Amino acid sequence: MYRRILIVEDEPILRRLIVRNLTGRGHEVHEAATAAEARASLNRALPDLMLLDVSLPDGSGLDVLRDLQQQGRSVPTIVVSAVRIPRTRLEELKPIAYLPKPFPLEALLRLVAGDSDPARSTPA
Amino acid sequence: MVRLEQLDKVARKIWVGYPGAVATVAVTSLLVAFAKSRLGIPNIEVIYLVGVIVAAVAFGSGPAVLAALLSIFTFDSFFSENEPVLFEFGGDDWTALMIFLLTALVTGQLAARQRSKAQEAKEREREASLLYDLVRLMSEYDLRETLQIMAERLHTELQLGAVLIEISAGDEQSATAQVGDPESLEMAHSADRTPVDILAEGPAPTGGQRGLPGTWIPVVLQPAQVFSRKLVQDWIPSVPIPATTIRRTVIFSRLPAVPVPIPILRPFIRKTVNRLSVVPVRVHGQPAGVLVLVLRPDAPGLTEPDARLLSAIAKQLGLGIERQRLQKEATEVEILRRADDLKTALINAVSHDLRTPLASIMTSAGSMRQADVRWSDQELADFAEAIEEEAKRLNRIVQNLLDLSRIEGGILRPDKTPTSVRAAVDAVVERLQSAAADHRITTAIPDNLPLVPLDPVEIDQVLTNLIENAVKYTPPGTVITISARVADGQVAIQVADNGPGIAPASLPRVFEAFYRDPEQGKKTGGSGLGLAVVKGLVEAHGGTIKAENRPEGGARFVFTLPLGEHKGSLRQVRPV
Repeated sequence: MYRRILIVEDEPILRRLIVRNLTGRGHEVHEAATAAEARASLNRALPDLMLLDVSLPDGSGLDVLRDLQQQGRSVPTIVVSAVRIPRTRLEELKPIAYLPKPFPLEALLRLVAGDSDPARSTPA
Repeated sequence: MVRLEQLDKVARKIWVGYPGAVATVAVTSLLVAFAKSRLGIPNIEVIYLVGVIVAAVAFGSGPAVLAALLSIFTFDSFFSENEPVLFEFGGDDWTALMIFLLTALVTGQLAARQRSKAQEAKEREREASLLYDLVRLMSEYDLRETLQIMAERLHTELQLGAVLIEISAGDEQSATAQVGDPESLEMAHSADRTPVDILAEGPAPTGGQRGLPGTWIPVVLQPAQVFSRKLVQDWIPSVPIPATTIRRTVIFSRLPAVPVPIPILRPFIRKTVNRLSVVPVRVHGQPAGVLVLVLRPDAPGLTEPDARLLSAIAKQLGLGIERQRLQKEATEVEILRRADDLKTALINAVSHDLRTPLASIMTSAGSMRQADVRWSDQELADFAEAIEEEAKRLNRIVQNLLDLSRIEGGILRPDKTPTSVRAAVDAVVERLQSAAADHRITTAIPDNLPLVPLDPVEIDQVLTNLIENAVKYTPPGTVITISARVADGQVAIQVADNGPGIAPASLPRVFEAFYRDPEQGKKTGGSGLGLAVVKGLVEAHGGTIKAENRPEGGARFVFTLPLGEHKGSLRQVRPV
């Protein structure tokens, strides 16, 4: 079970829905709507888990993850995206899961609960 | 061997030149007589020299020599200081005769050379101007118009009875043009069993040699064979060109079949002139059409410069057709490529824009189904509302996509009904209130604005897209103002904001389908459909739309709708 979770998502409605579901289950949730906000939050403190959207208004979420890894820091990350992510990028960044939008809420909840089985929750 | 055309010219010169020379001497003699008797000017005989020069310039060397001889004879016979005795030549007379003859020959030659140079210059000028016009026509007009203008020009320049141009190089590049008097045109069209001269192309130029203009080959079809231009096209490549004709410049086919024994008689023998001449047009060596030229019944025939001109025009026409075909192919490839780009953009837009609201809907519905969390009534209501809002958003995207395809298909027909602009604007603003919660929307619609004939559903879509666009591309707190006014029989509706404005580079392209500002578009996740749809819908109403940055800051979109009922509905729908 991940306690502190950072949600990086620019769609306010979807972000609020996820926040509600996670706080309802006792997680400590931090929010970021842009890549800049995500970097700022990561600089303050590393969460236990990051839910990362790819298409952000000011850049790619994948760049945020890559920069973080290049700094030698690592956070278990679930990549969420409405557009297809090239397999090479995923192999390079090694998120614990990749959820293409739209995804069933249960898939996300299972991952957040720590029941991570990449084989099952990483559809091609 | 002297060409028949030249002989023809010589004949004309003989008929006109020699009597002309005699007349010149007669006139000169009268002048001399007048000067001597009435004015008493002595030694006026030198005027005869002027007469010889005039004859040389006007009629050439031959008549000038005759004039010289006549002058000496007349001068010696009638105006001599001595007793007038016929043919009594003294030493002075011989000297005078020599000078007169020399003058006649030299002046005649100089004048002839000058004349031929002037003629040549005129022919070259004609050739250059016709070819230049043809090149221009082919790049600016469609094929049919080009052919028509060329037919008219040839008809005038070559003084023909009729010109018929037929091009058949595929469905897109086929056209016919004709000009001429009915009798000649009839001949051009139904030329059964008529002897035809076909212009076969001469050898191409080599390093040091001019190319030859071409060879007229007489073709007399058997009575059983029906003349058709198709036949000429098929047949011409196999026409053997005799070796002798290739070495010569041009042999015209109008030489009579029966050889004339004494060459000097040729000018006086009635020639058999084929009135019908055909110049094949080839594209890539393949027959692609013909120029059919019909001479006037009394015309002397086409000359070598004419043949060169026709040959050049046929060549240029072939090249022009080829160029147009290649251009068209290149355009088609470009269209396909752009269609492909459009498809990719569409797929990306659909994948992102449709999946984002779907993700929210699935998450909301999934949340409501969770048993392990007890949701409050408020939370459940929020989930339901999120589903509703996102479903509406999806619907708008689908609507835009459908509208765009209808606009692009050109099948959009606004169902116009007199509508209050204020009511239409208020309805949209009311509906968008929650989506634009971070922005302030104000309206400024005058009370006395007349009812405007418009399709309420489509103009609702226009206003919705414009306001959503403003909300999407401006920061929270921006004021969006919708105003309207009447001017020039139109109502102009403006959606303005005081945001950051539109990047100058994007300004001319904002209405392009799938165009997104490289900077802003990414942040807002817009699909690049909204404004394209707006433009299509406004234009379908007979209106116009423009986007600009306001001098005081921010952007504004102004669209007009005609107030006249019929004006818009008659206008043809243009695809975006």
